[in-house]
Amino acid sequence: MTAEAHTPPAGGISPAKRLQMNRLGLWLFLLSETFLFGGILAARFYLWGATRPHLDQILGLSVTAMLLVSSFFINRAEVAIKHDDRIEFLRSTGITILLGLLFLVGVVGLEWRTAPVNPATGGEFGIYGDVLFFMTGMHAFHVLTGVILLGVVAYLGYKGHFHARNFYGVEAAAIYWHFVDLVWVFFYPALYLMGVAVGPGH
Amino acid sequence: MSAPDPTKKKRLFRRGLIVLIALLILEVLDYYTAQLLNGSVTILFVLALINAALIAYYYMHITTLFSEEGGH
Amino acid sequence: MSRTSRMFLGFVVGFVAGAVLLTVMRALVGLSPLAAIPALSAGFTPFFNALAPLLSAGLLLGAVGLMLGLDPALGLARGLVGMAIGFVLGILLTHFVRLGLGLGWDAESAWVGGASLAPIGFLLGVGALSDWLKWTRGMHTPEQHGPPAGRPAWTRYFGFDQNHKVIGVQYTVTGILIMGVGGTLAMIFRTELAAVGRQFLSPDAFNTYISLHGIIMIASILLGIGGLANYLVPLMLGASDMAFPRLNGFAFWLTVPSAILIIMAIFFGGWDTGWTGYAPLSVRGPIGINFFMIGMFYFGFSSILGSLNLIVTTLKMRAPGMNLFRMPIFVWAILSTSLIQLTATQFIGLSFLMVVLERNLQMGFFNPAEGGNVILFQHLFWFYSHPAVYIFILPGLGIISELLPVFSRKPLFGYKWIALSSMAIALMGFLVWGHHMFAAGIEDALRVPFMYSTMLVAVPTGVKFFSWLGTVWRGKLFFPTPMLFVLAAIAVFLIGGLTGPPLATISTDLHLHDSYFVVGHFHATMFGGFVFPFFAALYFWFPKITGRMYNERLGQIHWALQTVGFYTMSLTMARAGLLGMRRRIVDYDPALGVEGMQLIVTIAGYIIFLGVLIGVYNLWISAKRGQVAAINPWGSRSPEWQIPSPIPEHNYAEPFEVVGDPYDYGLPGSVYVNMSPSRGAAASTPAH
Repeated sequence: MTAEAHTPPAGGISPAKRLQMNRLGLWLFLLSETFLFGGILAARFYLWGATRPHLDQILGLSVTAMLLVSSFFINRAEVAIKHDDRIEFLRSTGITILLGLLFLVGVVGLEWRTAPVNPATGGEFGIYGDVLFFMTGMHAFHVLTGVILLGVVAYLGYKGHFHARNFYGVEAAAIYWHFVDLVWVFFYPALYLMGVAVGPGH
Repeated sequence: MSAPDPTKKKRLFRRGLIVLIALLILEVLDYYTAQLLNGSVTILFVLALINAALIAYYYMHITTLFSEEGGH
Repeated sequence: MSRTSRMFLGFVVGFVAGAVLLTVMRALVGLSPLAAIPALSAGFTPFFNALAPLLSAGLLLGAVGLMLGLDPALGLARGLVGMAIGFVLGILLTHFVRLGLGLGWDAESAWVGGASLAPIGFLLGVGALSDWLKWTRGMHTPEQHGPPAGRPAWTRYFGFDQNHKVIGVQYTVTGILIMGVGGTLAMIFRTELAAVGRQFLSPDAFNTYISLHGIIMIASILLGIGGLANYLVPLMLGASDMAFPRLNGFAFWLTVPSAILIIMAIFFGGWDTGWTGYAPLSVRGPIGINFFMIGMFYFGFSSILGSLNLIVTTLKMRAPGMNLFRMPIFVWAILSTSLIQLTATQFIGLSFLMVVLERNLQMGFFNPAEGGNVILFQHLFWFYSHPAVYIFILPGLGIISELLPVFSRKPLFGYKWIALSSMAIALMGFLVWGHHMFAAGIEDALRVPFMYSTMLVAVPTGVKFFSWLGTVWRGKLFFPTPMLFVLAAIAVFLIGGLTGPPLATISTDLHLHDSYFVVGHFHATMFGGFVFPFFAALYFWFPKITGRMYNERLGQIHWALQTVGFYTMSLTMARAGLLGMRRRIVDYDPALGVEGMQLIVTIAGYIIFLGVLIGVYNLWISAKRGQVAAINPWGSRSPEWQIPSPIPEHNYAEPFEVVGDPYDYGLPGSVYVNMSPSRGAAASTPAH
């Protein structure tokens, strides 16, 4: 490249078009991730068939409810900031983060340690443990990255970065969070509900 | 972007809450399908798809992807 | 201190640091510092064998030191330092986590942790994450154009840059370099195979080199495609850059540490499964397989993000008047390719991740004793890897469609059919993966449907062939080097295509599976679908990229050597396979009667290698000293040929307007683009 005047041509990208492009990019990324989680789900059916392990149903119901409620709150936060309601945005985002962390405590902290498939607690259910830990682990990794993303968004919002005319960062983090919830909407029945429960535990 | 409108905001808050209630109802239906219908994979899949559609449409506003087709 | 002495000092310091670091790291995993790499058996001196790992580490870090001595701000050098730091941190982190869980030191886990963190260190060092990290602090980052402040222009190519043309060149050059590595590996094991009996390669070394050859060549194809797509697509659409310039640079720089990790596998015992990494052998084999799989995992990230960028650019940044069926046909090819890359790639990441987890956390997904299933690996792996081969060929077939009208002075026959055939191949490619598993023991009921779906993919491919024939029919053909490569591509791809149905048919596949017939088939499809069109594209766009013309005579010599060499190699491979020569074996039974053919294949391979060397030399020397080229030496109607060479930073001085169809060569009065719509129709490009 020669060192010439760097003047972009007339007709750059309008903010409306930029927003469209950003949204499309985000959704394409989520499409890709859908294939990842779809593959994981397919592996679950290939290996477990119409069976599943005995898992704590109350725990399962609780963490699922928490994630759904967290989706409600981040939606609330997104609507709030699009209407310049910074206080509500901060409050709702904070609650979302809290619920996300509680989800991780519930799954990684509790389920992982108490599931009857855990060899450390005397379960030795091979493939049931493997798939359970893999599915919840991959999902939890995405919950964690979602929480971090929301943390960044909350921080920037606190500094006054977002408002009704500059909200895409919030929208993107919110859509990512909803996607993580969406994955769990399929993983929860696949792990806790579908098929006949076999093996140790009650 | 039009000026923020407080009544529209309240309407959207309320809509979000209604969607949440629907999602929680679906979760309860899920649970009882497992208990009473032997965890029928088909029914649970259908419930999950409905759940997913609600989230994608109302929370993720997937339709904004297809609106405002730019310039040709 | 003069620059030369700085570079020398840097090299020496780096060399010593590399040797010391490797010694310490190998000692930590219980390997003697002087133990050999999967070696060459008694042919080479043990002294050299023992020193090889130290020499290699020393040379690598010495190169880093040299680069830093040349220019301390050089992105690549900083990236490599970051990679080394990432390695060390990863090892330490893994070790401390294991300590916290009450587990002891484990060499393999440590290396996995190191290899997993190393690319992140690289990306931080090269500057690929800087802008995004600034965003988390609320800072604004204007798009950067030109080299870093006060540095010479050439340093752009060695660091993080956002301009799609710079990134395109980075991808292409890296791809050619990697192709050289893969080709050299091939020369080594082909020499071993040329005669019966073991010559100089140990079986472990052989297995590692063929596995590496496979995955390295795949990587070089993906890089070459990335190069062509990133350079050309914005130009063809009339955009000044891609939709996400920073993401573009990030996606490129992901590939460098990935490739380094894959090659590093040699130093850790290599691996013996071939590039396909099947369980259970991949679960039991040497540690090197982790480097291969983790490297590929990051490489896949690059694929996904790059394709995402291309899709958004194509759908949102077309010039006024350019509806989808007025795009250059190459863009259709890249769009279909990108759709596959975006989605299918996740499956190879998934399958490899599961192998690494099974190895390191004893999660027995593929272990029948634990309730796992070996075939699951193959399903997950091939669900990506079959569509992957369509990733490899669709862009090249798009290049053929793009160039034939220019060199026939005739419209592209059946443009819409060709465009849609690319999408059809992309879609149907997802439905055929089982044909790799006919001999694996899958359910009988699955095999026949896969046979039918596989044969069906030949239909849209055939549409392309017939359209190409329709394009050249009664055209005013002329044959500069790019056209020679395009025609050879068609002829070679035909061989690849014709060797397909015997493999698609279950009954014959049971005889041919894992034989050299398959090797002949995929080399023909890869060369016809990528390698030949890739060189055609390089020669074709060379004058536009560099402003200079390549040497036509050298181009013809390259073409002749590569074409004759390749035909010989591919047909001989197929014949040897029919006679029962198996693939992936270091030695073979003389009673098969294929020794003569193996010698021919080896010699043909050397001829191809020579041809490619001449071609790369041609491009290199012509870029520096070639004759200054005209703006549009081929008489192309495409918009990028109407602007100066080399292309200015922002491509088009003003957005052009599309007023006609792209390939109406020879139709009087037809116009494709109006380069200066603000000045009215008078400024539109004349018909040719």
